[in-house]
Amino acid sequence: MDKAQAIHAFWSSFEWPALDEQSAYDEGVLEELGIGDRYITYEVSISNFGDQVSLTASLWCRSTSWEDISKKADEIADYIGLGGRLIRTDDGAIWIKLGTPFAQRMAVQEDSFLRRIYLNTSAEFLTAT
Amino acid sequence: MRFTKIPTDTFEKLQLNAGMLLTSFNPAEPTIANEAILGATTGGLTFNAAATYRDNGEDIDNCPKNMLELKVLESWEVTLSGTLLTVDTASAKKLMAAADIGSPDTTKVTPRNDLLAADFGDIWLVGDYSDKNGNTKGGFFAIHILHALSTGGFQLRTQDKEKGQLAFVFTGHYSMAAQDTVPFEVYIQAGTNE
Repeated sequence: MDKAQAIHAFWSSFEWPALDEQSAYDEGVLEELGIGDRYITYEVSISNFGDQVSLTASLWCRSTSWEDISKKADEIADYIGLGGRLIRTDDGAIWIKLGTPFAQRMAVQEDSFLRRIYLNTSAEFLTAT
Repeated sequence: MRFTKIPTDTFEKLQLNAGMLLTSFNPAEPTIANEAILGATTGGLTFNAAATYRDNGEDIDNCPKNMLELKVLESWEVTLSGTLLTVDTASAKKLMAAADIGSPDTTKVTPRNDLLAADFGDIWLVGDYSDKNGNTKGGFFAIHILHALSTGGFQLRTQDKEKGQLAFVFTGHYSMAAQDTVPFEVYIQAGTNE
């Protein structure tokens, strides 16, 4: 898979649907796609060997509680781990690392029941191109 | 460009992260016991094995320098340096080299003026290696330093609103019992799928 597909596969590996934030959809389209009240939007930045770039994502969860969304953030943090996580691409790997801070709770003004946690990661490209 | 490329398996052969400082490690069964970790470090670790060479041809008339047949390896200077953030009596004793933990007062570490054979001990630098670095079958890059002794002294640097830092230098030593054994060895094990 190419780099963008590898990033998509990474964010899709946490059970919640994952969408490229540049093609994030409005509520009606999300419902049509069968995307429920819990999903991930992620940023796609592509670079070359040795480059380290910021990759952010957001967890979204419609709930009265922060419990489930916080657990998901913890699960992702555990999966990446202190040493980072290598994800494979066609021509190498991308080294995903925890950013600082890793997780920030964000208010969603338009919908007081929609919880959002903003995730910071960095990615070092260990790819042949 | 024709000559601007990297090997296609580069990502499979990279050493990753700062690594750990261990007092024991078995490459055949690479599990890590918590008590084997000397402490938390900051700024990474630096291993250096510098060979000292003698040129037997340097006083021979008309002999060019660095004639390969006349080059002699005299010895290796093996050091591992870094900075610890955590300390307990065991690691303080290790950093002082010649020291004893008190008895019955086990909170006291007293330096000695004489060095004992028991003050030397093996040290391992073990870090992640390769693209497969899961928790059970992950690859590792391990450097075993034989008969290591803290030769950088016991140092503690404190700072306002910062964690204390203990810089260290361990030096590997030859042993009279095995004089041809260079005091370090390297293990490189690629990981496999979990």
